[in-house]
Amino acid sequence: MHYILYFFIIVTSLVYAGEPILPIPQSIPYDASKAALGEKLFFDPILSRDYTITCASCHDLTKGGADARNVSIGIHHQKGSMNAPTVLNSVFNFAQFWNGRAKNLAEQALGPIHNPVEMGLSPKEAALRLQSNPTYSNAFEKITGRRTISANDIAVMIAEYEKTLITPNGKFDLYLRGKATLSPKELKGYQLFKTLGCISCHNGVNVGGNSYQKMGAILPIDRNIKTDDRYALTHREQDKNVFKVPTLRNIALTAPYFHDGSAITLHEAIQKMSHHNLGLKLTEKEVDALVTFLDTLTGKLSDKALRP
Amino acid sequence: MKLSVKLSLTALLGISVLLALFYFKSVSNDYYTHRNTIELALKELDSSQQKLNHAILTNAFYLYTNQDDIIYAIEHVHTHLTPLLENQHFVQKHTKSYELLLQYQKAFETKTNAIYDFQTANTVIKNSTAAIPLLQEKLLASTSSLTENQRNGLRKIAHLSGALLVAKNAMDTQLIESFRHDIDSLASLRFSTQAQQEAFKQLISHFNVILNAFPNYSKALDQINDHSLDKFLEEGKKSFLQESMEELKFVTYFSYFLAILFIASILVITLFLIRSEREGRTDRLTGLLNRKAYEERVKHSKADLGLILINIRKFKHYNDFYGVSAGDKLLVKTAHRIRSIPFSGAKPTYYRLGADDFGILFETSFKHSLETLGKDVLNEFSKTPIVIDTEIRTPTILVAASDFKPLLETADMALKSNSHINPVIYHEGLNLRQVIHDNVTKVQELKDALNENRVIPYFQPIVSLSTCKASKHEVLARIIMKNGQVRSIFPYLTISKESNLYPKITQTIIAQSFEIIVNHEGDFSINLSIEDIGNQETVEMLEKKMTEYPDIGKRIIFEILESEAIEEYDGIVDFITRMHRYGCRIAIDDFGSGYSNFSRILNLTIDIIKIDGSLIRYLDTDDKAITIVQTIVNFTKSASIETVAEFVHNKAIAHIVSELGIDGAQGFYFYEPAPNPVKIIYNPFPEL
Repeated sequence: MHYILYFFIIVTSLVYAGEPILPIPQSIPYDASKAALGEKLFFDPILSRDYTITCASCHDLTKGGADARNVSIGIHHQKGSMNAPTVLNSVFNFAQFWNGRAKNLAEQALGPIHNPVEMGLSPKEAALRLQSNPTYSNAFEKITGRRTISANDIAVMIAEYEKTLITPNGKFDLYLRGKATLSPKELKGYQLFKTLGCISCHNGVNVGGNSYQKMGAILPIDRNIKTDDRYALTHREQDKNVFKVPTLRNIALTAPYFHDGSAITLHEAIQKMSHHNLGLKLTEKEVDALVTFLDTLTGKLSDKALRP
Repeated sequence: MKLSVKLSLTALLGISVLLALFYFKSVSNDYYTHRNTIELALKELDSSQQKLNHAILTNAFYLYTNQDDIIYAIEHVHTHLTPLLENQHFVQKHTKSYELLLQYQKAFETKTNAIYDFQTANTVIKNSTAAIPLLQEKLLASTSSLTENQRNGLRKIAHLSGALLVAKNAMDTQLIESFRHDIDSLASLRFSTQAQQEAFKQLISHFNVILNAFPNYSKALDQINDHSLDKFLEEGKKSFLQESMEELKFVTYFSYFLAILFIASILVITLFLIRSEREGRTDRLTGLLNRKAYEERVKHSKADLGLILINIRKFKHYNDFYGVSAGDKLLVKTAHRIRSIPFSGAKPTYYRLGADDFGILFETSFKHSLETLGKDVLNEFSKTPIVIDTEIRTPTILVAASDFKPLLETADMALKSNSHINPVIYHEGLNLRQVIHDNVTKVQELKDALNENRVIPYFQPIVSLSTCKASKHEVLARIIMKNGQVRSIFPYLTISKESNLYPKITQTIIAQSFEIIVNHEGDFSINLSIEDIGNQETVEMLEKKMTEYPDIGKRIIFEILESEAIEEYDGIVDFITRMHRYGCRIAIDDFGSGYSNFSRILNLTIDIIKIDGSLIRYLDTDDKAITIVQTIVNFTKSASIETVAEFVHNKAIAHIVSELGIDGAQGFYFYEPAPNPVKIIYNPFPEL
């Protein structure tokens, strides 16, 4: 499965050689029946302890695949510690969660279900709950051929659905494919994006999502001890405030920004980022141009343009 | 060995060869499939590794890079490593390689983490290296004049910028660390404008960032370049190759085994074929070749062959007397003896051709005559006796020899020719085929005669010696040939018995003679053989005639051969009893030809005794014959048995028999047999 995906990307990278950003493929292969079941699960509160939260509660497809809160709210109105990253194009990330603790989407899918402040249902409970539901038990049996449902089955279905959540044909992708031209301001923004060094971290098909970087690489920022950074996994000093570089795809739609949602606007996020991570102070004009460029990264979900 | 055992052994071998073949196919198939899969995976690992290193190099070198390449190269390694480590064949059969690959996996995990660290450090260093000239430019942008201090500071900054770049590209961690003091010494430096001051602060930060990130950067690169990863992969490949060779050895040996098994089965089958072929040509009892082998030899031989046929005389009697197992012993010893007869230079082959017939086949280019060879065989038997169960039981053997084709038939004819020569050599005159031909002709003649009623009764009168009247007639059968010639039935009797025509002769004679008897006076004597007495149809016919003509029984006499009366005693007693009931009388024919037991004959309630012609014929010349006949007559007189003399062919004998007190006489002296009985009974011989 992965192999096919890489094949796509290697082919595209050969075609668009030279540019450090690659367009999103029109589609990637997936199993339709699994994805359909995954979609049903994605929007079903059955997977939360009190039947109030769905995956889509925090990964709202109308809000760029994330939510508008700085940190998400789970069952019993509990607040999490991290800003919800977008589900859109997450299949292209090299790892999942802010600190990359899940290697792939299937590994990630069970995380929020199990998390006591998110959906609060253990994998075993989730599996049993679906098994006692005739609609689900029949639907699963059709695919797996088993009467029993495992937690992994749930994860696989949801992950398969998430493969369909890709947003090709944004203006910038069309530009990369030679099917659109950028305005001078957008072009200027793209130039700045590269020359200022943003491109060093935000590159590849997902404009990010392929390396871990330190928040405040040049000028350090304070670290919240509850934050789920790489340090939480490795306990190496150098991994403090190190996160997976988030995708900039559809970035205009996914405010607030950063792992803690501390930047309300894109403008603010760019300024903070250039200050702490590039060690540069950008002019208003430069920030404007960058914002204009980032707007071109908004794509289409199932051929529908995404709007703020 | 039984045929079923042979068949099942052959089938078992065949099945095992087949099974082994299937096993071999599956084993070799598995071997090559697994080997290809694993080798391909190892090769892919190698190439993914190259790609990964290339991607890292690209990233380290270029400013704008797509780091997806790195991620894909890492994933590529996983896509080939994971299935390999889950390949059961690899895990179980290639334990050493598997161990090495597990170590490789661990090392690759370390490398992956090092790559992530490299990405983090590399980005910062690249960005800072790019930012430094930009910030320097900002510092120099001010129009206000610079103090000495500031100028020195700028010079130092310019120097550091260049030196850092050099040190970074030299990968010299120590050199970079040595700049720390210079960078710290710049801390006191102040610029006049706020923009300059800010740019200066950022510049220092970038310097520090490079300084701080560099150890991680260099460490990560060291880890990435750690050769242990390649070493594990190389060693894994090598050990896999070695293990594969070991596996291949098994496949090779198994193919040898298969070939041997295959050859063995063919050998076994061939052996069975040869053995059964040999068994099929060998006589089980004597070990000599059999009839089948004989026929093949004769058929395929190019040389001219001769055959000596050896028969054990009266073997059936021997068998009956001593028992079958002793008979078998005799056959074995005889066979052994025959085989030891030296036929040097004649390429002899020895056969058992029938129950008691043996044959020696030889090439006739042999210098000795058949006669000599036959004598050699006889000599061999007379030279030393054959001892069975401590008794000398050398068999009497008949030897026949022939070099006329067909050998066996001609030799057999010679053997059965009844000539009293031993050895008998076949010559054209012995051709029994003529006899056989004659037999066929005779059967046809007899059949025709019977169908055309040409078998008829003749009557020979028997003269009563007291009255000299022809008081009786003996009924005789005659066959009238197509040309009208009348012949005795005697030459046809043997073949009639062989061809089942015999009862018909008797029956037609009875039927015809009874017609005549009814119209004539006097007694009539009819010859019956043991076959007739045993033939129900004939006996029933007789009884029917008796009932048909109630008074005729008193006038009928049945003549039974002396030899048959003795040998078939029990069968005859019943017949005699039945016929006595009708008033018939019984005569014993040819009495005195054998060694009759008088008292036994008496017990048969005999009425008449007909003295054998061989005794009567020489009465006029042989005194001994007179004594014997006298004895018979004396004995019959005391038992009130009538006597009749046969073959009375002259007056002298007629006189003697009359003198001896015999009651009746027949013979050419009196009457020859004629188609009708003598009509007028008168006395033509008053002088007797």
